[in-house]
Amino acid sequence: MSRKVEILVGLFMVLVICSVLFLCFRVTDPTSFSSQSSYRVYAVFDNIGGLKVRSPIKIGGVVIGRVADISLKSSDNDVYKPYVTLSLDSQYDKIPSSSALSIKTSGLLGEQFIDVNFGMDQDMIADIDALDSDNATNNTKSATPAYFKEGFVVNNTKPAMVIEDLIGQFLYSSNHSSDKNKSTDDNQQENNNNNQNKE
Amino acid sequence: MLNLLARMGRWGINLLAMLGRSGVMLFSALVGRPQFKKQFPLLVKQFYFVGVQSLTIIIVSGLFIGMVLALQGYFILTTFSAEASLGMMVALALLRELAPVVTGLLFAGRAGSALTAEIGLMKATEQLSSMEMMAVDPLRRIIAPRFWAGFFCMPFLTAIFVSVGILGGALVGVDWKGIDAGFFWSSIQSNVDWWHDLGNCFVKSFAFAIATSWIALFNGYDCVPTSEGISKATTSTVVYSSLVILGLDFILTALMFSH
Amino acid sequence: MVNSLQDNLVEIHDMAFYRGTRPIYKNMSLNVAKGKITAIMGPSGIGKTTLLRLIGGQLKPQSGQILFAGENIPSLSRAKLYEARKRMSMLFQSGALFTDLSVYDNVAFPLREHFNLPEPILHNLVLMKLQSVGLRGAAQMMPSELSGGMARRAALARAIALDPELIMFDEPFAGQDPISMGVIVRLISEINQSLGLTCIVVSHDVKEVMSIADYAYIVAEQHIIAGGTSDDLRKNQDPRVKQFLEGLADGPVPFHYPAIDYKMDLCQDGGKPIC
Repeated sequence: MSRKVEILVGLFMVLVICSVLFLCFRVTDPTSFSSQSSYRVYAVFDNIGGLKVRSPIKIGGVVIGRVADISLKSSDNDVYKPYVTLSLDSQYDKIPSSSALSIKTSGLLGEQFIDVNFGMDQDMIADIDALDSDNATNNTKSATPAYFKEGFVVNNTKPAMVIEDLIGQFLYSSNHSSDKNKSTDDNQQENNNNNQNKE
Repeated sequence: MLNLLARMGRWGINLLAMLGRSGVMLFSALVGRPQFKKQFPLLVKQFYFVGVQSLTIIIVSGLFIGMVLALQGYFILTTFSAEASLGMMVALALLRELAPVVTGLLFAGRAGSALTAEIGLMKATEQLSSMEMMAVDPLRRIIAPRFWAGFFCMPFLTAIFVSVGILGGALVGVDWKGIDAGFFWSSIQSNVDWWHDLGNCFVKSFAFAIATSWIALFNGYDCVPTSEGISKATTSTVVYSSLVILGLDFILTALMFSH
Repeated sequence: MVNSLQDNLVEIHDMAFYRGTRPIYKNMSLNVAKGKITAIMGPSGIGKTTLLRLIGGQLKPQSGQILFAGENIPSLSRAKLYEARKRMSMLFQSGALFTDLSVYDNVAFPLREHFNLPEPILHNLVLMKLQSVGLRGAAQMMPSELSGGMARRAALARAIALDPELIMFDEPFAGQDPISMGVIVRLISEINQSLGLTCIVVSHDVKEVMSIADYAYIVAEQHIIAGGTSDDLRKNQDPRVKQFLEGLADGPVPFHYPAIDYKMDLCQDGGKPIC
């Protein structure tokens, strides 16, 4: 009796361990286990649309971090703007500081994420700066670091595409000028391209 | 009117006294110098009664709930041609709600009622009293191992329930309905967060385990030692455990997933 | 009745115990002499089992002292109380064997809990205890397979396993056939004589108790109404004692439970008179 009980309880424990391993490695992404060190970058948007805490941040479709916090802050001129804290994986530490952040939607109804569009590398900026006046060069070099790093505030952001606005814009422009109509079409084309990339 | 007020007051006082007694019971059962050598075999035995014997019902219901979830999800998701997200839907539904709650309810029905009846019968046949007279504390000897067994077995059973449920979902989604296995598993992997979903699943499960074991043991320990009293205690174990699990689930969900 | 502490294992002084507002004992005092069999008799429902639980510390009196070997049981700390309980044991009316353990394991239970004995010594000890109650052959049986008398003997073996100083028997003769009653009477006196154990026997089987008890108390109306050796009690002229010892249906303890007038009661139907 006692021996049988021990063996059965042992089997039970093996089953438990198997299912825990299954949950850890098959159901969740094992790489997300190790709490990788990350660094924080802040970004100010005009409109974050449906962005949420824990929304992914991607470069070319690869997740490099997640939104850690969203709040409303009045920056320089007392206008409240969404202030998003991004937590980025520290292995991706070579993102040029001139990169732009835009909020995009995966799929037509999918969740929103932050896409990082690579800006120019510091060397290229330096090249361009060399053409400009010396004063300007000194200013940019002292004020902004070459890459994203802890505490950096990104101001180069594009607001979320709000689908209602787009539709409204489309209807408005199709009734009136053909010029605006064309630009809206381009917008949507771009949007679709992005969607296809994500899928 | 005054009568009603008096009755409500008495009910409140009784409830408070009951809570107090149950707290004292749990406290004196669990606090004290642990004697692993003596208590470990008892724990193994209770693992057998509480865990191993609940395994069949957990596996079978996990399998069928996972399969039904996948089937229903498939019917709904095909209308949006989003079958690829089926895995995610099954896994998240199981992890966030179904597995802890259903395991808790089944556990209360299967193991909780058995614990209550066993302890109630021990009380009715004076086994608890005679143990006390032999200078063996029945709280430490009888209640404590059963509580720990319940406390650990329920999350264990929940883990098994989730695994079996997801496999059942895969069986229906991938093998029957022909969703691509890669889509199925990758949608799970990319959307299940190991702390937010998996961790909270176990937090819930531990909370339910404490509630259910506590209620079951207290009802047995506090029952009127007659056959009627035991049957009443067993019923109230199942009823109270189920209500507490559902209530607690709402509170925990609100706390965990609100932001 | 004035004895020093050395001679009395249990002394109860002026103890009062209430269950809710209902008094069970008032001004209760009694002494149990060491090495003797003391019987406590009284009509059923008088709270004799309660008295044993009070001595065992499972219940606490509202006032008064219960001394066991000089220690006041109600005021002992939890740890001290458990130490004191190792020196006493109690035989419950139902036997209270652990139904999930065999007879052998039941007897071994208190030994395993309190001492770390090597298995061979334990084996011999348990068999010795079982032999003394004549159940060595039933060691591997489960309690559900035992008859009532055998269950009580097995429980007795378990009760003496720790070699206590005091054994309390709760209704040891209730519901037994004459043979097993005889066996238990023999066992109690054997245990008392050979091991020198103090025994408290709570019972209402007058004949059997009188045959073995060195001293007997009769409890009624929440306290001791008479005490003495069996001869003393037989000579006692108190009508309540006489009624109990001789088993008369009517007497100071009325046949009828207190009720309103019989005629009145019959005429009532749900509070409304019908005649």
